[in-house]
Amino acid sequence: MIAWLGLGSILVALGAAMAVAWRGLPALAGRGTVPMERMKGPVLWLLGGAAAAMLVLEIGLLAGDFSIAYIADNHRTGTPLIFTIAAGWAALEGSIVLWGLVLAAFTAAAVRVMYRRDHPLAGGTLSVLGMLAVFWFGLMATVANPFAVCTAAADAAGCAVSGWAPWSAVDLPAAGRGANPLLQNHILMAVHPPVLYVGYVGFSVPFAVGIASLATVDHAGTWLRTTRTWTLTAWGFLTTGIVLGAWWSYEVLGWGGYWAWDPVENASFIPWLLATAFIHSSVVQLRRGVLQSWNYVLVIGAFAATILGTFLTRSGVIASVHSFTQSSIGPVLLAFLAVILAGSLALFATRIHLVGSAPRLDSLASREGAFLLNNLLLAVFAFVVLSGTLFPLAVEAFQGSTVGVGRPFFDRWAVPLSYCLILAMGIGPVTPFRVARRQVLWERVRMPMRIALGLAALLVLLVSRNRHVIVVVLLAVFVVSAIGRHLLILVRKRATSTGQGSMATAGYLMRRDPGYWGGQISHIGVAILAVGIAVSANHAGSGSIALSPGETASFAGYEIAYRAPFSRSEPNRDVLGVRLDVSRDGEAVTEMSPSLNSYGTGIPPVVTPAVYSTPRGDLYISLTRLDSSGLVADVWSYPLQWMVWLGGLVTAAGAGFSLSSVAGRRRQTARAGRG
Amino acid sequence: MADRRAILAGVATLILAGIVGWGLVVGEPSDRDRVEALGARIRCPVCQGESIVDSPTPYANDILGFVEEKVDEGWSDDQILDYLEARFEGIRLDPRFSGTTVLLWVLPAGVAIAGAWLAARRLIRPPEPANG
Repeated sequence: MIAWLGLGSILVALGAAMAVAWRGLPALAGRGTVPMERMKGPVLWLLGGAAAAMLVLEIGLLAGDFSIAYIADNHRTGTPLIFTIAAGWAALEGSIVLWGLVLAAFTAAAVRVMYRRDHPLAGGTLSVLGMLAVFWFGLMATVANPFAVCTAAADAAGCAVSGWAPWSAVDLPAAGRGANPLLQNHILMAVHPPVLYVGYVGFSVPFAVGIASLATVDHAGTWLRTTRTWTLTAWGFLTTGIVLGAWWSYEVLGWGGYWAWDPVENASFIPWLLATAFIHSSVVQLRRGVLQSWNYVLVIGAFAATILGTFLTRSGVIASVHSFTQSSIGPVLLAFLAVILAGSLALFATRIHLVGSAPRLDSLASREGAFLLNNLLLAVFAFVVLSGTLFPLAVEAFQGSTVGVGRPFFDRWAVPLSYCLILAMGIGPVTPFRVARRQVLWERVRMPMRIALGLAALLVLLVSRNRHVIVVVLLAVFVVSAIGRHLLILVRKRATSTGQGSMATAGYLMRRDPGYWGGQISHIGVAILAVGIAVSANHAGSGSIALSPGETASFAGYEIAYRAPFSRSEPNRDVLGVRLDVSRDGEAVTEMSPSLNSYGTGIPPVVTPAVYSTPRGDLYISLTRLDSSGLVADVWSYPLQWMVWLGGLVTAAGAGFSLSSVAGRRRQTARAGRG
Repeated sequence: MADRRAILAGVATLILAGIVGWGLVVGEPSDRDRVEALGARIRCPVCQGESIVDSPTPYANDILGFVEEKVDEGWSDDQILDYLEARFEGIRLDPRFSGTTVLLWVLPAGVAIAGAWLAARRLIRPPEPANG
């Protein structure tokens, strides 16, 4: 039943996607616009089919229908509700269902929001989105059918062989295998993938609009104004998704870190870098009319990077916690990526002579110049991450030898690039457009520079003489105080003339220019993040403790005492852990319970660290052994670790501010129009 | 009066800059000792892209112990890395500057230079009026 309903929903969505792609085609081919009325029907069917597929999969999971291979392999009776639902996207086929649903939702939103009035790019955009949906739902209908039936049960649990057709003879597995233990060990796992997916899939819309704009030769830069909301939305979700992923890695994996330059992390970071570059460079085009072709390159690059990321993580070419299982969809995804790149770049090549001619910039010492620098740095950064990620694969493929490219390589590039980016972040936003006169610029950076030097000098004298920390604090304080000074001066100027309070004036000024101030909020977030990264990494302490019952060890100013081991059985796992009394200067501060969680026999237990967070920093304890004779644990201390999470979320919140203010203003205008 | 204030501010700025500069010169690059810095550059052979410092596996701990031993014996960083690389292929996480791996270091620099050159040529108005 589930198999029929599920595959049926996918086929409905596939058919609807074909209709969307087909009906929009005349617009894409430059033969006039397509009335939105003709698109609404198939788009609704697409959304309905996609939602039904997800819903049917979830119902199957909740009902524990092990005749479906995916459910037998990724669900187990007794899994808590939240992880049962999350199992709907915790493995390959299910994650594609979610991907398809998000894409369908974005397509529907494009019809609803973007093109209420017939927009010249509407038909072409929807046609491209339809083609993308054809690919994803085609994938589900063929090689990655999430509703494939189990035709031969595995010996103990799960499914050994599955059949695509719903009418295949079922061999019902006795029990389900359950999802990867790492994926059901923390609540963040239920949240991180959907958020990241909205970010990934969100870039389909700017890409589609960009392609439609290239195809129909839109000179005016309309496409940039249209894509802005969508790019910011996708970027905000991608940022949040990356932060949540890092947090999950920190709280769950127990290796004492949050970012490892793992190929999967890199796969999400490359589109983030390119999208960040695009957000900035589109401002330059809108203001000054330059960088027209570069913006197309960026939007195509950012979208292609999301597909590359999916390929790297889902095809099994790289072994990681995200790669699920070896599967046959790798070549298909690679072919899709090739088609996307070849198709869009060919289109770009045929149109470039129509796009290219642009006015020139007057001077590099200007806001545009800062944007150019920012774009160059971000593009080089993306290139470094891309080549470091692909290089080992290429060497293995062509030479058959192994080369490791890891943290030291990435750090060596990322650190200086980030310093330059933060510096540009401080100077750029206060630099005037066109030509910045030296006196004006000096006037604007003098005070922030002095504040930064003052705080950095205090830091050197009192706290830290670590070079990285000094540089980052200097730069970060400069960024924040330059922004603060700018706002203060605007507020003062306006408050004296209107007589309003300064808080109200600041709020009014920020909402009046949401693009700029949203950007500044993100910049403050990046500054906080940078300080958090530099301090927590360079003043980290690490060690190992071995305790017998009753013993006490000291680490990083804390006394850690072994109180008692404990064990408890939960429906989906057995928790074996130890209670530790933690005190500081003779005063008890907290109790920590690191544990080893077993998700069934034969699977090695998952190490679950205990983290004690304070404003000063984190104490992080991760067990390596626990038995009757005592425990062995790795311990870390990370000062100011919270700044990493806070900074990341503030960065994302900048996008939220821009979007909500724009939406608020639009509503206001609409009300005023009606009144 | 205004002049004196500007001079005072300038002197104060210079003093602050001097302190920060002094901090940068005497500052240690990192708190981590040599073993850990070295360990971060060595791939754990049985893990997936983790360094022997990050990995909790016994095998990684053994190699880290070996590194510690050799550091105590006074081996140089390169000696230790060379020794390990002769036994495990591709054990370094920052590939040495030789053979194909040169590409990894040269390509990004090339992209940066090419990008800057292209931007300067195509986007910036030349100082004298261009003829065409």
